[in-house]
Amino acid sequence: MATRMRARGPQERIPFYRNVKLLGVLAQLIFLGALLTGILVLYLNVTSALERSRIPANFAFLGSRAGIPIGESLIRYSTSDTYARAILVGILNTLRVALVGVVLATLLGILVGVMRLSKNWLLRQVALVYIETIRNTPLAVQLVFWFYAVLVPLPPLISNPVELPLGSYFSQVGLALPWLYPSYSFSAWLPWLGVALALFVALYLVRRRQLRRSERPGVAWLLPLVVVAVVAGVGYPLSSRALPPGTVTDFSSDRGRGSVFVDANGDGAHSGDERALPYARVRTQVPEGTLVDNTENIVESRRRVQSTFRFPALKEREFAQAEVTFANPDAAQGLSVHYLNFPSSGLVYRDRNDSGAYDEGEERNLESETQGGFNGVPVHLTVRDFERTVTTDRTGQFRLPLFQSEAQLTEAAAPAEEGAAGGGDTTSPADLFGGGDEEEEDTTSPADLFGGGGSEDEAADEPAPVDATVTPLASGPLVASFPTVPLTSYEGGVQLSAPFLALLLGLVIYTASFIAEIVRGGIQAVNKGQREASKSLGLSDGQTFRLVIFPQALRIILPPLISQYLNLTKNSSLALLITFVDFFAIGRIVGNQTGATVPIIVIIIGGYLLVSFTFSFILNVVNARFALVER
Amino acid sequence: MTVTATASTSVRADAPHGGQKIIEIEDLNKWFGEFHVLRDITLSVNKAEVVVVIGPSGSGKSTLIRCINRLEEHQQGRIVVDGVQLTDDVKKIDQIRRETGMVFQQFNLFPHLTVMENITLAPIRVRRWKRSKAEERARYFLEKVGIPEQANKYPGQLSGGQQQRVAIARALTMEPKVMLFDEPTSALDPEVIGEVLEVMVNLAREGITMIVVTHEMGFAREVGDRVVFMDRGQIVEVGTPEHFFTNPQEERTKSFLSKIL
Repeated sequence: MATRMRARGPQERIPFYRNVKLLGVLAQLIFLGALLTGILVLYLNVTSALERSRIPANFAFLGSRAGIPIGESLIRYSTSDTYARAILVGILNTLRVALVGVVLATLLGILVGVMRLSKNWLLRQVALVYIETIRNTPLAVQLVFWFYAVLVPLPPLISNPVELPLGSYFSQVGLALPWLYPSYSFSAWLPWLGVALALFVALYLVRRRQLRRSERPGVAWLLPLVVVAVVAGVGYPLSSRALPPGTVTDFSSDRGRGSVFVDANGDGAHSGDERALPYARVRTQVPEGTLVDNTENIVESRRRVQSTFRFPALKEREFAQAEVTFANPDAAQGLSVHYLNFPSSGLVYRDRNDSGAYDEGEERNLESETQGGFNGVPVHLTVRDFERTVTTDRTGQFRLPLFQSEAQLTEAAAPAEEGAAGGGDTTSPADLFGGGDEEEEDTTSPADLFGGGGSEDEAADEPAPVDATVTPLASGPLVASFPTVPLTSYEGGVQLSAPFLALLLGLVIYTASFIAEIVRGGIQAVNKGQREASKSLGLSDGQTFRLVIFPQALRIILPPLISQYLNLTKNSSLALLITFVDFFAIGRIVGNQTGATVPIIVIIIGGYLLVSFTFSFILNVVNARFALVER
Repeated sequence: MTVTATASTSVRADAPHGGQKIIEIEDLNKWFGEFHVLRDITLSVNKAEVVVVIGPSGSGKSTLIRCINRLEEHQQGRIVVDGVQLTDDVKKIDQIRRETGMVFQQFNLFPHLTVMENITLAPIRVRRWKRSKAEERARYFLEKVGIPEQANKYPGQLSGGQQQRVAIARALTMEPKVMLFDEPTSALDPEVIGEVLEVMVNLAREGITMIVVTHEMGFAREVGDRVVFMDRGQIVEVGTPEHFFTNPQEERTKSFLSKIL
């Protein structure tokens, strides 16, 4: 036996089909061959099919005019921009919802995850029910719920928005929050900020070294931060500049729209190459002006209607006096006005029981008038000493409610009289609100210019518009822009549309339920002995969590957390369901318009890959920093 | 000073007269749910005394010393450490924890911190010592436990015996009035038990007050001032090591000793 064993030594020839190493290489080669063949077949098929169907297979279409109207964009965009820019708008929208979503989902997730571990029974159960409900419902269902069941039907109309603290507004259109924007003085502040940043870095490094050698625990960033705040704070008033010379405002009260710009050629009108002033504050004053609306029947219940009017939201401190009157007092004989939200919204009723107020009597009586109501009654909101400070948008434009002068109203009254008497609505509210479409307005503006120098007679016939005073104001480097509601949309501040809010809400609540479980798991995975050791050394609960438990839990939490961030980003493509214009939605529209389906799919996949890779690269760097140094 | 009693009641294990009492436990009772884990325990410890607690597993030895620094909550009875009575008051609990060092069976070093950081964490954060003082004291105790060269390593890079010696140094650096050892050698490989016991013997000889839960009878015999035998949540017998190992009175003690010696 022994000799035979020795005979089968290493020099013995092994047949190739039994050689482990050779078999490995062979398997790899076969797989590679199959893969390449597959790709080749696919490529040939696709190209020949594309040729046959004449679908464009290159990216040339990106440079042509898109003509896609996009409601919200972080960058300047109009329908005359290219497909490439439309896609960029989509990518930025996706990134915005993903970044905000990731931050909020992390905060909510940590909160719920810690709640799950709370000693409080109620908190624990609330967290558990939340997690189990949300995790086990498809995200698409949740998004549709938030948008179509919550954010579209429940909030009030844009003309009657809810006022939230800090001058925020909430309505069906979405949420508008105050925001800080860099003004024309911002560039003067930049050097100060640069110095402050450099100081921060330098001081931080010095302080950190000092702390490392020093005697006590401490935070290295606190002192540098104070110094930076002081530097930036001192620089702020010093870099406030007067308005650039030649700054003027053109405001057309007929259109309720104006812009602030540097009038280079001195003609008072804003021509294309003149510099607009974005985020400039403008004080607007209207001594007397009137807004026009027609009442509209709203079915309150099965047999009751309310004839309501709605004007752009005005705050009480913005005017000295306001009153809603009937445009045509004769036709409106016996009707009264009841404010729901003074002075911007209310209803028209007939005071049947002569109580002088809108009460039970009228509501009962209205039942007999269910079909007619008081639909289409023209009403005027007359405002005295209106004053509002607005902030121009990034194109230097601002808007005001469409105030009309006495003269304009008399002019308009003549043809409208017959219709109003008959109770029908000849003037649709949409017309009165201006229904602002950019293109339409652009075509009218040259006419306005010609009107100035053209036939004098025509100009004389035009009734004088309201006497509005608009004054651009000097400001510091930053401008606090508060949202206003001039017409049917928000102006100023930062605006979060209802689809954006629904998507954000859905993604955050959904992802947070997963993050909560990851956080809970991470904390629980830290050995019980760690807590005991820390407590037995006399460290408090807070110190134990901060110095012992959390750093260890973080190492367990980070990798699955990263994958949740990627999930959130990819799930944002469900925006399609709720009309939010994200990367995928715009990609689809572009694909449909151009027929370039294959290139657009390549772009979409490439885009998501790029976003995902960036995300995981950043987070893997973070992960590596927290990884345990041992063994 | 041998005390015996019937099997159904716990024996009082009072410290010898004349000493300064640093731990007083009176009529301590504790339940885990329905399970009565500690029954009428009365035990006091003098300053510089070494009390060794032995007994079969599940007899409540670990639970007893974990009650002293409130890692376990007791339901009845009184615990006084260095004149401070243990109540639900967080301040009192923290005060007692500062004065009692504890060494665990599983070491429980913080794996994300170096040996030096492990040791100086509590002195800096709890005692509010300057870093330099904390590090100096840490080096002193690392020297004492025989591993001064390991200060900048992470626990994962050390052997079990070294880790337990770091844990002892960590507890000592807080300069506690009492050291509690909860089976400090039970998780160690046989060949490194000796190095940890040696450290403990030295500490005992230096006059540090210690309560040691252990299965190391050699250690009990060598340095124990008193040996407490526990079974089924009761103190069955208390005595000097000499008495205890040569002339035990109780049946349960005899049967336990016969199994392990």
